Amino acid sequence: MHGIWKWINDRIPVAKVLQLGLDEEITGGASYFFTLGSATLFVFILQMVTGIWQLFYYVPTVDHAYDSLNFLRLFVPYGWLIHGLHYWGATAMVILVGLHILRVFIWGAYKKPRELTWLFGVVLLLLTIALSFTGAALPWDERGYWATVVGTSIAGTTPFIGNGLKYLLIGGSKIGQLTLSRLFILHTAIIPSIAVIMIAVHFAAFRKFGSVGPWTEEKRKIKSDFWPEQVSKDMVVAVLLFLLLVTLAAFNPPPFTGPADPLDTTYLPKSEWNFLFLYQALKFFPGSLEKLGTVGIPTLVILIFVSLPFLDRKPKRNPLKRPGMMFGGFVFLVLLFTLTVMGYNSGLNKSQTKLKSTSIKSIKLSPAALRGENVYNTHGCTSCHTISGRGGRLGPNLTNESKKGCTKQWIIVQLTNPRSHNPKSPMPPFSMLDKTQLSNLADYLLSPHPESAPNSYNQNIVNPSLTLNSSENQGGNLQTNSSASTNGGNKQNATGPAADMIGNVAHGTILFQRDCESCHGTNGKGGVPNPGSLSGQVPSLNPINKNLFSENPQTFADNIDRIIQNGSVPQGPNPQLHMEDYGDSHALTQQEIANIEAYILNLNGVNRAEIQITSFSPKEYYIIVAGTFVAVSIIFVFIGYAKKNKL
Amino acid sequence: MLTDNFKQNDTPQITRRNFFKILSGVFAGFIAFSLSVPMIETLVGTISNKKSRSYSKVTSLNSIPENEPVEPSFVLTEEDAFIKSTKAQEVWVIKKSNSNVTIFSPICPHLGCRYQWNSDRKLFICPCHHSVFNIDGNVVSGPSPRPLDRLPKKIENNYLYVIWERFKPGIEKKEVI
Repeated sequence: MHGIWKWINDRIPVAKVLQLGLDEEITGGASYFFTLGSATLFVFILQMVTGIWQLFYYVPTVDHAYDSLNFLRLFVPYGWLIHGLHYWGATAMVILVGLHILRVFIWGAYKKPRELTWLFGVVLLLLTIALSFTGAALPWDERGYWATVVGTSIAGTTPFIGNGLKYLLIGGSKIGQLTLSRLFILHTAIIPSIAVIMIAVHFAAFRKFGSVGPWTEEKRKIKSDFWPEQVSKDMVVAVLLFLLLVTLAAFNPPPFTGPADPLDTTYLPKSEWNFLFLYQALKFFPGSLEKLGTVGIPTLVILIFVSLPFLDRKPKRNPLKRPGMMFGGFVFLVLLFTLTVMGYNSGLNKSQTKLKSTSIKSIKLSPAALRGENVYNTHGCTSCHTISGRGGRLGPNLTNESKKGCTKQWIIVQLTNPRSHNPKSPMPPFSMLDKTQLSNLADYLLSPHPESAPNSYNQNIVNPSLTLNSSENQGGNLQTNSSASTNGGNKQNATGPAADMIGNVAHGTILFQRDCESCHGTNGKGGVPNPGSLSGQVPSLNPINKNLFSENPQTFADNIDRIIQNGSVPQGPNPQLHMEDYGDSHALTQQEIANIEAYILNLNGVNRAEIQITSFSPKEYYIIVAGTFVAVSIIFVFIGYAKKNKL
Repeated sequence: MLTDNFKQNDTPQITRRNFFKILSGVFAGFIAFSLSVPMIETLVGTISNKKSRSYSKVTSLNSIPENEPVEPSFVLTEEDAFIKSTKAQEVWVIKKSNSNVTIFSPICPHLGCRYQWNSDRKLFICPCHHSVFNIDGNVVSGPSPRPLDRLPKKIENNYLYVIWERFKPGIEKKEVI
């Protein structure tokens, strides 16, 4: 053994390199305070390893990035672990860098002769933020896409070079494939390479002057060796961090936010947590002052960081004797935390889910009318009638019903027996409504309504199935795509791209409320009448038809995707409502369909994003890893205790 | 061990140092092992995971006439990891009754041309080298080394499903490519 070691070292200086890395006296003794740098390094290496491993599956193209990542996460053994570690590692990295900087700041370790070590550290901080920004885009999901839209726009507000910078970053004037390619290369090649060099320089500079140690002379007299005293503490922190990341990956996996959809108007982007402070700060800089926020704040922060060792040149390091500095740092932290918490709690997400109800309520309704509005929205009225620009066009527009001079009684009769007013009326009798519901509904219809709902979306897109003209309707046959039910052709059998995309349930809920609920009922519970169809009702999706259901999320998604893409006509002599071909007609984007499918699966207790193949499930893997760790730790504690008592 | 000056320490110090060394080594090994096994599995686990060929829906049985070969087209989906591609594919379907259905690959087993049904002569005839088959797929005349290739099928809810396969042409044995 010794012979081989000598043979190698006679040829290459392995021992010397190790000595440089490990052989150092720690002033003040080994300490857990000094593990933050090595912890950051550990997570960085973990990021490199898991990052490279993801590249075995991930492809940086806008049409397959999301699918390829999900293939890794759901169909590759331990893909969930590799991606989960990388995702949570990124978060840990930002936090650790922050804590490391805070420790250095409190200990005054940026002072002479360590100014350059500090400066390279600041560069590493900026690289970490750059990695965090570029990495978030790569899944090309809704969150990553919109973060990129906002982030590159912020870069675009830089004075003089803004437009050029943005153009360069996104590879043209529009975010797309070239943007993804550029962010991919930045994230996987350019920034990590620079980071590795910077880490080497940062480490070399650190080795030259060593740890800063305690500020009191008395404590400085204690000495211990970097190897193995400090290294063992570093390893304890590393192993705990590793367990924490495994726990997060197993029990709190990254969300599936749905495929990126540039045409989607219902998704309201919100910054990642580490940029929330900036996101919130920008709200205080309206209009012309915006640049102060987007460019001014980050520049100011960077300037403070860079100039810190040159502004604060007094040699004393004891924080108690540097009250000004400590106070400044404290104010900075409080500001950062407050803005982050405010940003986190800001109401964007809440207002988003209320899109539907708020859009119509700009005129105040009486309590009875409000209840009537609920009846109107949940009993299929919107399928045929429009109020304030929302709803179908099969029946008359009811926005100005209050101005037509109809009595409440007339309306109630029209609702329960439409043919008594017009024998040719295609309107189904809503005889299942009780007296109160009818009265409330009539109140609602007789209330004044705004011409168009604020924030209303394009009606042609919302419900294309209901734009049939009445002549077709009076012909008594709505089966425009009757081949769907008897089909011998092949098109009706085909699934679309949406069937293979992992949608987002929450987003699907919003889309379902917007586009599907009027016929399929609240939460897909059904109950909406469809006169002329065999069952008399629009099918319930909750629970869904047994023939469509499957425990396997892919099969289930395929089954409903065929219907959403190609439409279908219910069996029966003369069904008044039928399912339009939302995919083929491009009424919904494939991404929107994927989200709706995730929601419908969720209604039926199936998780669209269920891990399909795994040697051990996340839970089992966690139990094995955590169990081994506990066992090993107990042995170490026992040995340590025994030794202490003997000595 | 690593450097010479480490050896200078006195005995109790060494046991304490050894404890830290072992601790560092075991924890490093623990992380490396917990990570490397899944990483290997990530690469190995997907190789054997070739999806078995699945049934494609061809058409409804009602749309096929009895005792008259028809060539419906259906959508064939090919899966390659996360990339799915679809293409239209035709097969010959002969329905003798609702329970007796035969599906032939439309590729001539001789050299891979597309044969046709001659409804006057009630024979399948390949235009390339004039291989001739009867309605049951048996060779009537010509150079074909084997009968027409039957494809695996199933009938469910009055719909016909098929597993699309290709076979090596020009040989006597029916061999899947």
